Amino acid sequence: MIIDKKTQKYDRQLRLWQASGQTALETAKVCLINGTATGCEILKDLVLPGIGSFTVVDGKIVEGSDVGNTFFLVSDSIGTNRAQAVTEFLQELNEDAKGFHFSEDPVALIENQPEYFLQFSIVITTDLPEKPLLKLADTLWNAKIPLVIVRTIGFIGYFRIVLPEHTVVETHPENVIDLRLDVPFPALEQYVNTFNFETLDSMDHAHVPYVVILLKYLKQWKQDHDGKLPSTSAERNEFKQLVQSGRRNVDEENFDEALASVWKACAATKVPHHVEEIFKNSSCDSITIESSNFWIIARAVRDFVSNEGLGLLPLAGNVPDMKADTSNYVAMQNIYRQKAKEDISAVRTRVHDILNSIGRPAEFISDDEIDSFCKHASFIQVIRYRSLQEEYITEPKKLDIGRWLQDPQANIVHYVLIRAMDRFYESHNRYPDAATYFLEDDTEEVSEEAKNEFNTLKTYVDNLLREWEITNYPEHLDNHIHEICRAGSSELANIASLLGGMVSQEVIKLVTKQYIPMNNTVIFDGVRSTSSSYIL
Amino acid sequence: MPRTLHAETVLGQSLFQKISNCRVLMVGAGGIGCELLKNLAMSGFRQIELVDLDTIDLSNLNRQFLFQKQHIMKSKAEVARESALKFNPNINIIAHHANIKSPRFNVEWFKSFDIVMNALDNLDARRHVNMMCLVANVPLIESGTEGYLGQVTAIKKDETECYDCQPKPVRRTYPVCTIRSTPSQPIHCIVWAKSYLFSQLFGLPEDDDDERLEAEMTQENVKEIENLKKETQALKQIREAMGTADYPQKVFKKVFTDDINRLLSMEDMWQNRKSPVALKYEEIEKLVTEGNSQLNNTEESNTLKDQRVWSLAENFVVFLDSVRRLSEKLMKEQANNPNASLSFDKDDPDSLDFVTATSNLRSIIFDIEPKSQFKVKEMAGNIIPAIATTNAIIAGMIVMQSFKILNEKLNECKTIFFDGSRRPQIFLSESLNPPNPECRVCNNTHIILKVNTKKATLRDFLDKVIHGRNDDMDIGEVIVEEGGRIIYDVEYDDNLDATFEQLQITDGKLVSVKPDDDIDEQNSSIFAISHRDFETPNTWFQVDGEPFATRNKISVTKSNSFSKQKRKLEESEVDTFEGLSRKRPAMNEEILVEDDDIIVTDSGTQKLIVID
Repeated sequence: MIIDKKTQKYDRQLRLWQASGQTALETAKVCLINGTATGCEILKDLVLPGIGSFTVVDGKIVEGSDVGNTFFLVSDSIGTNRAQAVTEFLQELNEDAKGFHFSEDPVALIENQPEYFLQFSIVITTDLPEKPLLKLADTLWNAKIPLVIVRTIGFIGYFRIVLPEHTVVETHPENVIDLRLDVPFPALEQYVNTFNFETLDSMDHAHVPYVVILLKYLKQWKQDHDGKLPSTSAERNEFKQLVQSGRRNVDEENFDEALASVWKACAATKVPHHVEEIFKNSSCDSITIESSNFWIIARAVRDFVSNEGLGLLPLAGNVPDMKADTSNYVAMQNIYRQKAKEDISAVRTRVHDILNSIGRPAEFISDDEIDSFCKHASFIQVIRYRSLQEEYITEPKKLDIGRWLQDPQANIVHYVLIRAMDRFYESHNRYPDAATYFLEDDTEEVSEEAKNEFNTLKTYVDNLLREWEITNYPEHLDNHIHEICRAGSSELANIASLLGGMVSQEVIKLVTKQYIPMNNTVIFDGVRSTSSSYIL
Repeated sequence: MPRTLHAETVLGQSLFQKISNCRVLMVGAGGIGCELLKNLAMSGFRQIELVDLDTIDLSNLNRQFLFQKQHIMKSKAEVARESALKFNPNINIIAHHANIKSPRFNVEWFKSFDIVMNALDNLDARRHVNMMCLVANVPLIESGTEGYLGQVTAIKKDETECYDCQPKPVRRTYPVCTIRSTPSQPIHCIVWAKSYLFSQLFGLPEDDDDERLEAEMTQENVKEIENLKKETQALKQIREAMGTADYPQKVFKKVFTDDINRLLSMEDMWQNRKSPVALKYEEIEKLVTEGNSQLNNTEESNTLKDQRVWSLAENFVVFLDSVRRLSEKLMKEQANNPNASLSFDKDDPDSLDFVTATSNLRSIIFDIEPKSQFKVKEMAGNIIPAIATTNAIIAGMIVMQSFKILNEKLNECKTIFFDGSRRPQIFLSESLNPPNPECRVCNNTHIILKVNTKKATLRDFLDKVIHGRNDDMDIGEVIVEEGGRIIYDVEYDDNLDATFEQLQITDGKLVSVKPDDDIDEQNSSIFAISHRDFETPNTWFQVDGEPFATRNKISVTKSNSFSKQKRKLEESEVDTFEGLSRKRPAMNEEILVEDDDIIVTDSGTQKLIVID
């Protein structure tokens, strides 16, 4: 019975994403473009929990400043290939993760051999200029491989997730209990009828599961109210009184539990709105050989709902802990489980029929996957991201950006600056950097060189605003342009670490397909310790 | 380009200079600590002291990146220091493999730092550091993580809320009789396995079990309590058979058969409860030998092995085997140290096997649902999920707060809540609150008392420090306490002629003095003791600060603004309070206070006297 070493090592995280999440993590292949401080921090937080493999693509040679802001580099690393140097140190963190390095200029690689990146399950870029970024984004988009674009500038962090579609079954909602109290299925009703409260002795009466108590009194209520549930708060209170009247003494904890669940019991069970929306999606309508497992099962569940499900999703079958003796508890648990099994089996038949219709074998989708989908059916999520092409070229969010920019506190301003810096880089082959002029002394006085730098960057900001048809120039932009010029493109180790944590968390969500990842851009301001997310 | 260029550029010269000169204390070198040490080193901090009493465990390696396999069992503080220096040889890190509560980390030592950062995992140590930072008047950055959640805040004496200004959730406790005689939930059986049976068999032979039982004695359960005491005694005798081949069997028969039969004989106990069913050793043994056990049946994949609920036979086999394994381990240790004992460790497979099997066998007896090992581990170990990502984020936030404190912009610090699992707001921040005037930890005077603890007596202290300072403001009779014990009050003057040392009030201890006329603790002063070899009676004391000086400053309106009801609520939490007031004597339990009284007695300020 000794727990294997791996379970022990990963115990604290298995409690968050279970064995299934861990397996997904261990089979993922991550690519990092540019082994910057932020890039290394991201990889650190992926290597530690046991990512399958990581590959660093970087053509640079380690410089002194890299050693200054990248924990994993030492003075001896200076002058060596950065890809190799960081890979070696990261590899030491966890022997389970396999580290690879490719000392090649990523810009050239994207230009000449973009298909290189199709071998990975996710690609992360740090410090990649706009042009190669757009090309890489296009390549990965077509292959449906997630791309995460990351930037750290001074106290500012930015990341953007690019992926045509991300579907999540295990969203980890807080409350997954579905007891069907308002619409008990026949087996449950039959079970409730086996209880004759009057004849129970005091011990058994105090151990009737609260679910049975509620169902019994709801049935009585419905008989007296034309089959309707208590709907107003007055009615619910009245119903509480009814439950209370059946109680023999104050020590009956099962009655406490019943009373605490009255509100839930009176809420109608139905298909949640966001799931209905998913069912309406065209991917759910037209199932082809191209369809993903998610959509095939979603379609099967949709058909189940409109047929044998009688308008309801398959039952999850979980029963919460409650005051009850084991035999009653287990009996009730089995009734819910049995119904869940029947529902799942019906969905499975439908999945197999669909697979058959598109020429796939039944084993194409495992029973476990269908099982899990049915259990989480009320909480499934679909995120459709916007492409980088849309954001940058075809459909920039002009109106939204203009509106957001009017709030001087909004973090969107950093986005404008990052985009302007990229434009600056495009023309000058370097990022704006007046840092050396500021470093001489701490005075507020601005040198001529710094002024030039400021004005050049401001031109790019102006150009962007013009493209976005934003006519009233937000005054606070100037301060931020000044700050960018002062800080240059410096990466602060501390912010790199913080952003590294935020990005790797999203990568884990994307790779494990658990929890709901951000959509689509997050901007972090270290000075004010705030973050905002925007759909750009 | 110089190494520090990035940091210098972004932070600016003046802040960068302050960072280089800053002396920082880090308490804890675990999940947050590893990240924090790295960030501090990389941000230009050059003088770091680090305290952690823990050693490295396999389950740390998924996030505590300064540690690797070869470091398991070694000191966290020391390995963290070595690993960090490997990458940053130019900074000065001092590591202490020690408990932060140890007396050598006294107030003066705390005072030597510009900033303290907590990266702890428990309430008790957090409260201690909070108190020490209040007394030493050093800013503290407090933090914590749990799975995808994290939190950071800054604490500064007299300016912000302290760690104890808001009540903290308390650990759930269960009545002894529920655990020992009438369990009804899985957790009751797990607590019994872990806290009772484990410590009875392998822990320190505890004498306080009886005391604990007596504390809960009522008229109804007096007989049962007596029985439980006998039960414990009988178990002690069995323990003497440890190491013999039939020891596990003896224990089994005692706790799962005989004791249950004894419980069954208490008929009135089972009138309103389902009665337990004793296990029969021979019957289960037969089951096992007949091969009904699924022990070798590993149909599930490897990672799921511990997530399955074991059968009766499996629990039986694991119980016997884990008792044998733990006995061998204990006897091996006792060979070197006769006083050796084992304590439950959730990450130790033997302990966990024992608790899983034991609790499940007990669950079966009481008709309670058994649990998988994975689940038992979570429930028995109070396991808090932990990942690298959240720790990295929170450690980064700690450093950001420290920049603000060093820039003397405490007002820009925030309490930051992080939630990585929800969208779209990742961080929530709120402004720091001012101190809670009702807080009985920070709302007091903290004073360092330099004293020759070998020479000065309690009488000297009362005469010279408490009463002898200013006649106009004499505070009348006082109650003196240290570490929860009463040293002196009007009816207890036995200690008057004992020296500080004789009273075990030594360097680093905190002594609380409060006027006897006050109803609650807000009127106490806390003295931090610092020993000095002063030679003449006149200079046995040196008081840094004004004890009771602010006693009359508290405004009436402040006291009035808190209703009687709220006061009652606060007081009712006294019992759950783990800090200084945990063992408050019963005579102080008077709770209801008239608002008028508060005005008359001018309450509001508790004074802390630190004996130096």
